[in-house]
Amino acid sequence: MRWAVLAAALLVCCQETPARDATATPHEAAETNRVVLYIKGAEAQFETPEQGSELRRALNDLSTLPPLALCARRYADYGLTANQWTLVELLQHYVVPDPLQTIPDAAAFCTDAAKPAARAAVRAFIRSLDASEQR
Amino acid sequence: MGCVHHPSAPIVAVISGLRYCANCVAGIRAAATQLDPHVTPPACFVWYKNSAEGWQPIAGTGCAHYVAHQLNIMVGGPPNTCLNGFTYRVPLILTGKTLVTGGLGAVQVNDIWVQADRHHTGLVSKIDPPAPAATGSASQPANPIIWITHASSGQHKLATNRFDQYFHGHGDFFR
Repeated sequence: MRWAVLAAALLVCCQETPARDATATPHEAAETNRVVLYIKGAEAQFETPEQGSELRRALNDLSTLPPLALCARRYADYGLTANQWTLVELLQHYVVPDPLQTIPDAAAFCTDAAKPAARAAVRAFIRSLDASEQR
Repeated sequence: MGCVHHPSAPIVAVISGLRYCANCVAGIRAAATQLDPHVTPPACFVWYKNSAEGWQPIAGTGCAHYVAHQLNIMVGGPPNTCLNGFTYRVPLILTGKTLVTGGLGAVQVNDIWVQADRHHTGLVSKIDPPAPAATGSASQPANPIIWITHASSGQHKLATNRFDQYFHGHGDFFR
């Protein structure tokens, strides 16, 4: 009996601490996800269709690529010179979050991008761009 | 009364009624230097994030910010306004404005031009009479030449371009 209690205690103690998102409800996960916080309710600002296409390319990457590949991507700048901006730089130039915020930790941002709540928020933002182009 | 962000630091500048210390002034200048040359005016297109990150450029192209400065639009209040209190979001600069109807002949200097998709904006800065070669009719006179001044990220400068050429005649006007 004593061994059984000890084994049960060890089992409880040695279990890996669950990751934040594993224990968080979907609502809590969305509230703390860096991508959701930046994208949800944000406004896209760009001047030319080519700039808009580059933003869309980045958003598609944001909603599909794994974190390491996402952070390694480079995008054209305002003048359409290729491979000048990281994802974070591109977002800060074209997307105005509400409320205003920065992205101080690019790696954490890319990691958060892989979470379901983030991908849903990015897809919703892409749909809002689609809707604006129908005007 | 000390600095709005560093209460124990002495005041060296007052901007829009708020007091700032030397560290803040240096941070404001440093953040403004990160902006693309098209952002007009650049000195106030910054915001204070926190003590760790300090002063940062405001996100976005700054197109609405230019229009807001020209028309004295301060809708939204902090944090939807720049350091000097002017709006930088496109939807907010249209608050209380009315769509100009009556065709291009009804457009006036200082009307706000907005792309149809609402992602870029500028200001009507000049209107010239129709080109001599343009043909109109009594019922439909030739359109005037409308010039839009805008913070142009694509051209890296505050630019003035023809509505019918550079913008292909697309977009709406608000007054």
